[in-house]
Amino acid sequence: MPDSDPSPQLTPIPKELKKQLAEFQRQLWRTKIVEAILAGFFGLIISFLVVFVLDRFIATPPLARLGILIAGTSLFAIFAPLMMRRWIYGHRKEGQLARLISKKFPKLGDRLLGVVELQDQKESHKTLSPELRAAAMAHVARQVGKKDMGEALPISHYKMLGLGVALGALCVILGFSFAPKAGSNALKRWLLPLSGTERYTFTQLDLSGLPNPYTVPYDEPFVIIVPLKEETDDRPAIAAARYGLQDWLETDLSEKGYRFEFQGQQSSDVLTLRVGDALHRIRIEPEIRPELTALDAKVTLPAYLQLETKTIDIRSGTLSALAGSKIELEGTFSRDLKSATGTVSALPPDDEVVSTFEEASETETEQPAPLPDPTPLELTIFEDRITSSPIELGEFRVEIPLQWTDVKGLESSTSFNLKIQTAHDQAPLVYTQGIERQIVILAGETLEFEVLTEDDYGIQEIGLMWQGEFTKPTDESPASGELLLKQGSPSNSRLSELAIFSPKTHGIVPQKLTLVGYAQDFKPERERSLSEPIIIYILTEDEHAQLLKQRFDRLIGELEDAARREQNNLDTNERLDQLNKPEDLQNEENKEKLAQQEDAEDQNAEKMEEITKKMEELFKDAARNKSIEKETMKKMADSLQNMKELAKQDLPEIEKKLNESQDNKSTPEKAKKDLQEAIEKQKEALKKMQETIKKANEANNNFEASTFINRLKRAASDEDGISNKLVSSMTGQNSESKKAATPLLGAAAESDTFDPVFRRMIEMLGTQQRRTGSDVNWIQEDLANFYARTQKEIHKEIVDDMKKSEISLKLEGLQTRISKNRSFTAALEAKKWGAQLREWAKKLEGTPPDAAGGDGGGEGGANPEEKDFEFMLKVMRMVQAEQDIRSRTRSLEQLMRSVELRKAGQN
Amino acid sequence: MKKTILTSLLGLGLMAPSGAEESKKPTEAAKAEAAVKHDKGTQKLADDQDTVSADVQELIDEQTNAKVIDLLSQVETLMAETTDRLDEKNTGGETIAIQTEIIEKIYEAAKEKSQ
Repeated sequence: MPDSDPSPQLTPIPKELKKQLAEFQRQLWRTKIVEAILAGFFGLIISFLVVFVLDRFIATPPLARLGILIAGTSLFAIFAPLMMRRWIYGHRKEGQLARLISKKFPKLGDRLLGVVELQDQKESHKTLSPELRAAAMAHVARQVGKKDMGEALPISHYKMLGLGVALGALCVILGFSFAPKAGSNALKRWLLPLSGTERYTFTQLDLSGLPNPYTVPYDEPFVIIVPLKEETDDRPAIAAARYGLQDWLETDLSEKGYRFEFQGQQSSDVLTLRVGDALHRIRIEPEIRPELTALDAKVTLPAYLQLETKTIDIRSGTLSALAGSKIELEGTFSRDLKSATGTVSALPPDDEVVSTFEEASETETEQPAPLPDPTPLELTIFEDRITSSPIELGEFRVEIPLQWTDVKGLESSTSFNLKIQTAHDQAPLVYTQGIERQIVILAGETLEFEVLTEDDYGIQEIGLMWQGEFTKPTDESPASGELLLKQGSPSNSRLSELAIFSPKTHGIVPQKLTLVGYAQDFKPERERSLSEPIIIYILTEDEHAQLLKQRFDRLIGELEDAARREQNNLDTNERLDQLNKPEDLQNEENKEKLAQQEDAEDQNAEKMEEITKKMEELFKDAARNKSIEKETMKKMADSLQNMKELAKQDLPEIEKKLNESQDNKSTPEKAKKDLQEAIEKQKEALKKMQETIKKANEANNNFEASTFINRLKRAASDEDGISNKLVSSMTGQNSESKKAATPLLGAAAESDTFDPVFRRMIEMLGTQQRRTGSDVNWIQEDLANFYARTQKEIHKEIVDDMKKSEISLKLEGLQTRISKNRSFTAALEAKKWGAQLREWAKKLEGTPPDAAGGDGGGEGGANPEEKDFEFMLKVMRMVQAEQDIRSRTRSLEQLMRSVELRKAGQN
Repeated sequence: MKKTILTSLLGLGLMAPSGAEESKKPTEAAKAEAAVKHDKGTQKLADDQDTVSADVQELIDEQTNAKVIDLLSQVETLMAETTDRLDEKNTGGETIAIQTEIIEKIYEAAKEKSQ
């Protein structure tokens, strides 16, 4: 029995139906695959076009481009697979297809679904009818065969998508055709959104000079110049920019680009720059310009100065440094620097320097040295500091303009112009203090004064130098020497020392001496600096006495003037005293006269005081000269005493009485009495003045008498000097004759071959002989006058002897002989007249003081007062002698120390 | 002005630079010369001091006032000491101090005499 067959019996779908379904499935799959592909391409093209179009207006941000790219590729990457999943995978079985068909054709779809289910039905023969099932399937297959299954396919968009893709591709092609750079740039930016590829614009700006952020000077107008790149496709005539939200600025295209001038800004903001399709935003940061906060110069002075390197603050911009110095600059700035530059330029000497050279140019016609070329200064930057390479300072002053730029690109507001003045090591300045420029001393005296020196750097040593010069012919050598006073050091810019100079200590005989203080600094090859010279006339006692005599003459003249004035004052006072009534003295007119008299008396007292001081000085100097007789000194002392009394006591008392006579409180009688007392005192004072004049004249006469001796001795000495000079020249013993080519003796002075050394000497001796002859004439005349005044026989005798010897005439003849170079006879004659003059001097000298002109008594008749004076005079001379000895001891000690100093200096 | 004077001096040969140059480096001879000058100077000073000492002796002989005589005698003693020191070429501070004392003593004697 077939019922006994338990195996299920399957009925397959009819072949026709199966074929139709397969065709349907193929069409479905093809359509959907094409749609998916087109959609993917469409998305890509659209996303590219979006970037392309956006970039034409803005710089599409990377994230936006990334989003666009993702969106574009998502159609390919997400939508297409999903579509595949839905339409391919989801419609791979007949049932799935039947269901899709049922959406369009529900009945047919249900039947197809039923057929698909029937074929999978697993039932036994007892419950199923295979034939019936096959008949149903065949029926459905016939129905399907009558239908176009393509109508059951879902609505397809592939045409639209294809059109879209075609249009998009067309746009892309057009874009690339018309703007290939923009296209490729957009493609790159689309494909690699995060790559940082700059947006392509038709207007290409060169922003290489505009860093972002860009620093500008704080609150200062600034300029931004934006040039176009060479490869720009568009060159818009106008560009616009604005700072933050401020107004837009527009500017025209110039050769260099677009120039925008902005006002000073104080706060940071964004600068928007729009030129054609180019749009840039730059952050602007206003900052204060970098400033030089400190600038020091390390000055290394020339080695010879032995000084350490100095650091000098030169923020002022000027520096004065010694030529030959090395200068290193060290600067600190308010901000770290990127660069700094400087140029060392030599400048021509300024006016002052030129003026110092002017003197030289008068004698030397040298052209000024050419200026060296400017050289760049090597500067090393370390953060906010710079140091320069050493600048070697030469003869010219130097200018160094410094510029700097900070790390933000800001330059200095102005160039710092450093000027270095070239100073020269000045020679020390030496001067003496406590001594007059011209001075007359005796050989035994000692001068004490200070030698001071100042230098710009260090002083090596100070001292004294002297050079003698004989004013009369002599065969001796003039004095010459020096004395080291003190040694300095490189750091001693001032030095001073007391100089104790005694001609005797240095063996200097009477002569004219030029003494200078010297100072030596450390500059090699520099000569010593000298002070102004002090001319010292070192006199013999004779010369000194004659000098004192001249001073005494002047002083007596002044005393006589004072006496005349006193006499006049007395006359006026007596006229006032002769008024009829005492009351008249107190009227205005007479009171005025009394006041005038008082003033006149005051003036005379002052004058007397001045004379007294001069007399004191004269007395002191006379006491030093031992050739002056004590009688003369006594008379001088008496005169001095009287002068003192007059100046301090007598004349002031008269003045006082005259003052009292004007007192308003006094009665007329009292006033008259005061006047009369003044007159009495005045008479006494006048008498004392006359006595003083008399004593002074007596002293002066003694002086004069003693000076005759000195004058005669000096004339004798002059003649001896002439004789000695001639003899030494004839015998070739002096320095001049050694220099001469031909001998003196026998040479004619008028001859052309007469040696110039001797010609000069003969001229000098001739001049000296003329002077001596003149002196002798004056001695003769003065002696005659002196005799006329004093009637002392001895003077007459000498005058007679002189006249008899015809000395004046003979000395003239001697001068002629010297001029003609009759050397031998001239020497003999000069010697003879020297001896004669000395004999006359001796004759006068041998005369006792009273006979020589004084009226003083001898030793035996000396009264106690005179003895006291003699004692005092001796004591005075003793003190002076001891003081001189002490000064000379000091001078010798200084000489010794000078030698020791030199030894120490050399060690 | 100063420069002119100095130039003139140099021109006259009064301050011959060559001499100055030589003097910068004193030779042994120059030092010896200075030493000789010192020796001679002290001898001359000793002589002068001795002469003044003789004047003091003369003055003492003329005096009658015992105090003055005493003071002058002290002066004489001090002068003798100074002479010895100068003979020994001693020109140092002590010698100068004694000389100062001599001057003071002479003044004292003069004052005593005037009273």
